[in-house]
Amino acid sequence: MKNLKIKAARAAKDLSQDDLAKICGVSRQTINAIEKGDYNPTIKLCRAICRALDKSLDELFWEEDENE
Amino acid sequence: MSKLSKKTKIVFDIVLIILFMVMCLFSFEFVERDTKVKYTQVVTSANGEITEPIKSNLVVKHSGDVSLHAAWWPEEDLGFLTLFTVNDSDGNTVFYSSGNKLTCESLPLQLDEGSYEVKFTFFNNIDDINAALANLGTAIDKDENTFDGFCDGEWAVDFSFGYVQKNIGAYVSAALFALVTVFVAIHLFVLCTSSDGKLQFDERQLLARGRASTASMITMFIYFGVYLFAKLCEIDLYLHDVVYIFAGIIAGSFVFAIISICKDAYVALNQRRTALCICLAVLAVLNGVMCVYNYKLFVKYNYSVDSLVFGVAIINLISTVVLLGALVVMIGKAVYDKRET
Repeated sequence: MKNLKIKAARAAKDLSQDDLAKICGVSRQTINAIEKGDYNPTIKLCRAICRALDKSLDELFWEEDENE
Repeated sequence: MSKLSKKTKIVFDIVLIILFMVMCLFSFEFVERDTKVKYTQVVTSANGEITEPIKSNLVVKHSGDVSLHAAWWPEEDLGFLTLFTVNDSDGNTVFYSSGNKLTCESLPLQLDEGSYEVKFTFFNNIDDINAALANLGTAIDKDENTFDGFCDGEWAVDFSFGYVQKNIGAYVSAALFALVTVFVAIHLFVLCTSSDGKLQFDERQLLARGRASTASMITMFIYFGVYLFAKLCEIDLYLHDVVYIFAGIIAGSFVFAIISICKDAYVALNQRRTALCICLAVLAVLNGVMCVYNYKLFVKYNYSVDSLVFGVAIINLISTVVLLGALVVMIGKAVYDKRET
């Protein structure tokens, strides 16, 4: 499943995949894989992305549909 | 290993590369080379006798298959008969060939380690050569062979003799050392091109590498399973065993490389795509050249299909195809990434 929340939050901050990758300490391909839903990041990486985008874990990674 | 600093790892890799290269060259020293020698010798015959036979020594360093090539082929019929013999140190004849002119190439001889005497002996009539052949349990048929009589005089004749013996174990170990050297060199390349500490959360790469390794291992397990099954069933596989062993390793490496490229398992390598593509192209060309060279040797010396020389040509061919395949996939991935970004 695609993670559009990260993509939207990234666009809101006017960051490219490469920019976000550099801030988080990962490769651009990793950010791309997370946004496309090809890779489930570890909690460490989730926190790094949240910090970079000024969002909480819930806002970026919590799927409401899955828990209802 | 992961606790070591980047500099230490680089030094460690360089030491390993030098060590493996030395081991590779050392192993290659034990792979016998083609020792064919060609020279011209004056043969004098007078009063119905040839002055002396042409002799040479053959030293076999390792027991096993010896591919022998010897030729006595004067342009003119000198009017005498020739017997070519290979004798061991006890004087026992392990191989012989006879005729007016004769050539022996790529003889599938099984020789033990030791010194052998090879000799061309000349006879001026069929009765004499048959007397010599009687000791070997054979004779020349008088009706089928014409003998025009002996000619006195001096003749400069071309005489070639040599042998080729390949030590398979040494060849395999040299090739494996070369492979390991390439892998360590790639590791060194990744180390030198990656930036320290910036990818501390990029576990995705490790995951992708793990998946690539698993797929590679499964490929090799299936391949070698089928290969062993074929061997156990005694199915004729035609080519040398080394070909099948290396084909399995190459197939596993190919699967690993393709998955790694597609899944971006080595981002540092992806960032140096141009250099890597050039390296792959150069390696493919080198393998292609070696394939042609070995194939020419195979044709020149008329080796059998299950010989190591033909086997190496096949390995070179497989490597060329695989390298070109990896090159195409890498270029395709680069185009895909460019469109994606």
